[in-house]
Formats: sequence, C-alpha cells, structure tokens
Amino acid sequence: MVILLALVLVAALNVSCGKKPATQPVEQPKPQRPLVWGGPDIETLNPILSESSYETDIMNAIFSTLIKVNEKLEYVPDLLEELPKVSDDGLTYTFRLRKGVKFHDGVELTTKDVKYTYDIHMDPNVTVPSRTLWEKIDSWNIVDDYNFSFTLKEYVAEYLEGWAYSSAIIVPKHIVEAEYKASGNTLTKGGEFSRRPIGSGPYKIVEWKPTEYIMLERFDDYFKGKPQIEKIVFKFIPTDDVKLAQFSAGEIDIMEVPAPQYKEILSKKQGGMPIEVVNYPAFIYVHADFNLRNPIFQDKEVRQALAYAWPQDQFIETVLDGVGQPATGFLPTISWAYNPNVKRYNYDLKKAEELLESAGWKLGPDGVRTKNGLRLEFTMNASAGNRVREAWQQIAQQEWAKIGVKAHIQNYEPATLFGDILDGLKFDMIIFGWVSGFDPSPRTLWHSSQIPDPTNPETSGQNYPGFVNARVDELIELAEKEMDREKRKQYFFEIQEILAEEVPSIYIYFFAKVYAYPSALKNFKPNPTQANNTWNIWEWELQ
Amino acid sequence: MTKKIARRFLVSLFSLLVISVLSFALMQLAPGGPMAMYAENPKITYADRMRIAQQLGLDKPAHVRYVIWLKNTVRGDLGLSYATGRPVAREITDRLPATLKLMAASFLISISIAIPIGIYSATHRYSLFDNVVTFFSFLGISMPAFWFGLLMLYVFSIWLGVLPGGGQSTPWFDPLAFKPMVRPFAVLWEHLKYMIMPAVVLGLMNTAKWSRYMRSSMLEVISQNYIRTARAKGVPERRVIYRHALRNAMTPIVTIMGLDLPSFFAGAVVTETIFAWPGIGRLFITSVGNRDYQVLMGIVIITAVLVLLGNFLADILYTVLDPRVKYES
Repeated sequence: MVILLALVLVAALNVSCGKKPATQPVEQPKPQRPLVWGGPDIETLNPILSESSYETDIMNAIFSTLIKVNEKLEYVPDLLEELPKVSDDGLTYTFRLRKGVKFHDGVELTTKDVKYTYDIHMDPNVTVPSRTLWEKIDSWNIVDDYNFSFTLKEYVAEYLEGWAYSSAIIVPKHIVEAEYKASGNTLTKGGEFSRRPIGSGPYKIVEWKPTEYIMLERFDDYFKGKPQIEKIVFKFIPTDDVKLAQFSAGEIDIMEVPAPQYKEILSKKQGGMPIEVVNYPAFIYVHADFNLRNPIFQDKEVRQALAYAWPQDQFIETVLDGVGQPATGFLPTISWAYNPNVKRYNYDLKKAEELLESAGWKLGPDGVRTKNGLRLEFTMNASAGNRVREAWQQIAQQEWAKIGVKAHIQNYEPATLFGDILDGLKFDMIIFGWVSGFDPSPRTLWHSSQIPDPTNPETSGQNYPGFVNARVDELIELAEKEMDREKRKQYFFEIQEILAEEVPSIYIYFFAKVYAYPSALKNFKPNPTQANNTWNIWEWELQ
Repeated sequence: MTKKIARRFLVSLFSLLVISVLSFALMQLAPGGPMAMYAENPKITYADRMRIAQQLGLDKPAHVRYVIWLKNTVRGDLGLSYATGRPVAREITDRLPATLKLMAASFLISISIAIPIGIYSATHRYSLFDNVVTFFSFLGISMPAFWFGLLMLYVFSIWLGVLPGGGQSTPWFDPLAFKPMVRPFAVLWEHLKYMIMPAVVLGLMNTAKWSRYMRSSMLEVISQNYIRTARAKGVPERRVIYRHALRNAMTPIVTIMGLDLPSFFAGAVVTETIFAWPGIGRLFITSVGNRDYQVLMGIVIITAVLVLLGNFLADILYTVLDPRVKYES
C-alpha cells in the first residue's frame, strides 16, 4: 500500500506541472541534431577488455591504432608516420610514431603508451579476452619517444593485421596505470576507463546513459585535423522492429539493416530525407557443421549429397533478398586467397540420390534411407529467432526429405546454443556464423590439433566437426611459415579444394552487410574486416 | 499485535530465502552460462575462456557460489555484473528510476481509466456503453502486450509520426533552445512523449482487468440493503454512489491493485524491450541472454523484497482499515 501511495506520489511529481501539454508537439530546432547511429547495447569502452564488434564501432571514434586497414583491404598508417619496416627474416618490425599526437586530456602519445599497451595486455591479473597478438612478441626496443621496434618469437603471416583492430588500440599509460593501481592491480569493465575512456581518436565521450545512448563530441586537437561532424550519438536499440520504427520515424540516421528487411528499407524515405542503402561484402559466413563423430556422417557421399540437395541461388534470392554471396569455402571472393575453381554443389537432387545409392543408403519403407541398421535421420541446431538461418533449415528439411533424409529442427537461444550444444559437442548438425580473418589461415577451424574435447580442458580450438586430414594439417603449417604470398596462395587453394571435396561443413552463404544512411553523409565506407564501420569516422562529412 | 507483525516478518524472510535458493538453482539448471558469449569469437581460445572463468569465480561449484552470494548479499553487497563488471546494485539503481517512472505513469493511467469506467458500467448496466466497454475490456485482457506495443509503434511512430519510436529522452534536447514562454511545455512534452506509449501498453492489461473488478464490486455493493435504505431516505443518487457505495466498493479493488504490483514488474520486461525503455526489465532481458547470474539474482531479490514488503504492509494496513479483519489470536 505504502509503495502504491509512493508510486502515485512519484507520478504526481513527474506530472506536477499540472496542465496537459499543448496538443501540438513542440518542434525542435533542427540544426543542433547530431548524427545518430542505432545499434545494440554495449558493455564496455575499455579496448583491453572489450570483445564485441559493436563496441569496436564506438571505440574506433574514441581511440587510435598504429595502423588501419582501409576499405580496399590495404594497410595504411594511423598513429605512424609511415607503415612499419619489416626485416628480411620477417621477425623485426620497426615503427615511427607521429609527433604531436594528443590524448583528449592534452597529454602527448609516445612510445611509452605503446609499450604500456603491450604490458597491460600481458598482465596476468587482467581479464583480457585474447592475447593472440601480444604473445607473439619476444622483445622490445624503445629508441626514443617516437621510435621503437619489436621482434617476434617466430614468423607470423599477416601479423600486422591485428594491429589495425580495436584489440590493439593504444591506451594512455598515465590514465590506465592509475586506475590499475587504484583497483588493486587489475582492470574491470566497471572502471572509469570503461565508462568514460580517454583516447587519441577524433571524438571524445560526452555522456553515456546506460541502456540509452552514448554521445560523442569532436576532439578539436585530433592529429588528423578537426572532424567535420560535431556530435555523434550511438543509440542502443534492443530489437530490429524498434530499430526499423525509429529509422522510419527519422530518429536514427544510420543502421545496419537485417537482410530480410532490405526491400522494406529501400521503399522508405526517412523523415522525408533521402537515404542510401549500401551493401558491402563481409568476411562473415554461415555454415552448417557436421558432427563427424556421428556414424551417419562418416560417408563422404552423405555429406556431398546433402550439399547438393538444397537450392543455394534460390535461397539467396528469396530469403536474403539477393543480399549475400554463395559460399564455396571459408574465404569470401574479396580475399586474395579465394579459389574460384573448387568443386561446387549446384542444386541437383538426382545427383544427390545417386550418391546416397552408391554409398549403400537404401530407401526404407517409411521413406528414410538406411544402411547397416543406421537411419539417415538427424537434428539441426541454430540460434532461435534468427530468421535467415531458420528459413534455411526449413528449406533444407523439405529438400532433404525428397532424397530420403529426415532432418529435425531444434533451435536454442544463443547462450544455450554456444555455451552448451556447441561447446559440449551435443549436435548432429549445427548452423552458425564465423568471421574469417584477413589472413586466410584456417588453423583454428580445420587443423586436427584444434579439435576441442569438453572432457579435457587441455584441448582448445574451433574444429568442432572433428575434421582430421593430414594433408590439410601439412598445408596449414606450410602456409604459416611461408613469406611469399604467391606460394601461400597455392597452399590455401589446395586447402579449399580438399574442404570442398570432403564437405566437413556445408557452406551456406557469405554475409553482405547492408546499411541505410542519409544521402548527405559522405565518406561512409564500412569495412569488411574487423576494422568495422567507423574505421574512418574522422573523414565523415555531412553536406 | 507486535507479535503477529514479528511472526509475519519472519515468514517473509523465510520466503525470501526460499525464493533465492530456487532462483539460483533454476539459473544453474538453464543450459549455457556466462562464458557462452566468448564461444563464438574465434580469437578467444579455450584456454582464454578457462582463465576468464577462473577470474570471475565461475570455476567453483554452484552450491559454493550460492553460499558466497548469500553471505555477500546479507552484508548488502550484491556483487559485480559478469558482463559489465559494475556493481549489481549500481546497475539496478541506474535503471530503477526509469522503471518506477513508467510503472507510476501506467498505474495512474490504469486507475484513472478503470475506476470511472467501472462505476459508469455498473450504474448503467447492460447499456450500450456497458456493452462496448465490456467488449474492449476483454479485448484488452486477451491482447498480448508485445503485439499491442508493435501496433502502437506502427500507428503512432511510423504511420502518424507523432510519437518517438522508443527511448526515454532526446540526447540533444536543450530547453534553452525554446522561448521562455513555451519552455515549460517543451520540457513537459519531452518527458511525456516518450512515456505515453509504453505506459499505455504496460497499463493495458490492468486497466481492462480493474474496470471489470470495479464494475462487479460496485454492482455487489449497490444491491446491499444499506444502499436501498439510503435511496429510500431520498439521498440524491450522486451522493449514494460516490459517498455510500464507492468507498465500500473500493476496498477489494485496492487489495487487487496491491496484489497486481508484481505484474508491473513482469510487464516491464516486455514493454521496456519493445520501446527501448532503459529500465530494469531490459536489464533483466539482457542479463538472461548473457546468463549474468549476478545481475539476475540482484533483480530477483530486489523485486521479491518489494513484492513481499507490499503484501506485508497491505496485510497490516488491512487490519487497520477494516475493523472486521483481525488476526485470530
């Protein structure tokens, strides 16, 4: 009761101005309106602890990295005067920092900040999601405030790539070290540097309202010059429906468009303002992994037959509205190592049936094929609510039924799918997405040393299907040691051929990222790599 | 009386303990876990995940974690969120005002619609108005909140464009940009425009339900002998209804409103997600997705305390208000 009364009082106070509002909404003056990006909520802005790509979009605006990868997938210097020099043995990288780079608090960025960034990532007390980049470094040589070099323990192909992403953001030593000491020699996502970070990027943080938005304001002393757009807001929106509503109502300007809504967006004008819809190729692909430990998937012919028996082109045309590319392997067509001549599985039910027959899978009385007492029946798992993947499952289920294969659909929310079904290897077939890197090496996915075993904590890797192929292992190792890109390309070509023949997983399609944004926004160039959408935010202009 | 209150209080405490054990156990039974968000990232190795789990204390068995949690909670420390690393209490208090504001607004809307409608329906039984209201009440009770919410979004944000499609405030709102004359209205509208749709959606179910209760409660009272007596004495009808009938008809309604308090928390989960309202409901959904046990336990416990406290106080007040209700000795 008391609570009820209190609630009523609170409400009364809120509306205490008494009169009803003017019936007409009061128009706000337009010019001050910042550029608004609509996306999901985030947890931290501390690049040392972050692991989400949406956080990357905001951190790109606040921080700088030594180099960047541009939209043509070339390395370009960021905090550096020029790209680093690499020694002939590929082990030593020599860098020269720009002079006069300022953090938002006016302190200059120097080599001590770079070295500290390395130190803090290697600190055992700090919950760093990944140390892959940092662990490779053997020794440092700091020459002066602007010149430094480091030497790797062993040759790593495309090592520089990691330095272009948010995981290698250079943090201000004077700020982070103070917080590290104050919080008992560690860093947490709850710390001040997580919530109001100080960086050397084109925008500084003005306000973070939890679950509402983050507002950024341009940093006048940015080392590449003052950005043209004054304020940028990142608004947190929990669902696609609300995002679409807000975009249509003109409350957000930029958003990533979920593929099935592509045509809907095209037909809309945002608050009368003309909009652009762009479609960028991405490194993300969706695939259906076989659990090769399951006896029904032992025959290569079964896997090939399933790969033949679904209409890839029609799927992309109808379900994805044509946004997306057919996948023939783990590399997108934009990759330099992409092999266009691998075996393709164009929709062919007859061929699929022949393959199953030849492997000895005979049709049973109930229309499901059997062999040696095994029924060709299994369950597919995917994230519940992912409309594209659910549509694929339904298409595959119907098509496979035609060739005598019975597939069930059982979907889970992501925490269960990844935390339990995938990690515990409790699947027959699982559908999800991977981000392939700039460097094509598929070690963690297909090397036989990367097969995880839930009962053995010593194992690691993402070879969830349990694929073992000696030649693929050998090719991966050769490609990792080779420095000549042409030779590496040959190795990757062969890996792709073997995977296409063996089909340890069915490649469904490569993502295309679709963005809607106002026509007035210039230089918006989303990047297919982990550099993400805002990598060049200092160049953005509103006309 | 003091003894009764003390006993009631102890029972509440015990319920709280049972709630916490059950909630904790249920969360552990749900598949997946706080580490799942790292599983999809190919750069984070299995060893990395083991290391992070250990740093978060997730390597200990569930009953040990429960005891640790209970000890800290009794001391007033709800722990740190796995996802954001901030104190759970801060995560909740950051969002509580938004949720309370929304609940208060929808409560007000519900009362101010349901009560008059209920009275009018009861005094004009089987009239056209009564039938129309009955139709809409049942519609309101049966309509799922998420669907009604999306419908509102479509009509008022996309189609008519008069109300914002979600959020709680305009990031760039500046009262000084308005002339002093219109400034108070601008500020008021800035607050109201975001609140209207979520408050209506959150209150929909209760508005419909309460108007039904109000109607039947009123009908029951009107047929009582003392009302007939009042009418026979020649008391004006208005006075009969508002003075003699209403006060007695309200007593059960007030109880129902108290018992419906949890439904506002439950409804907030859906409503806040649809309208991007930055309250507890959204925190809850996000935390379920992340399996952020710490935050979930915090929300469950605080909600449970509020509900138990509400019931506890309602019980006590009831005996004060209505002399016929007594705790038997």
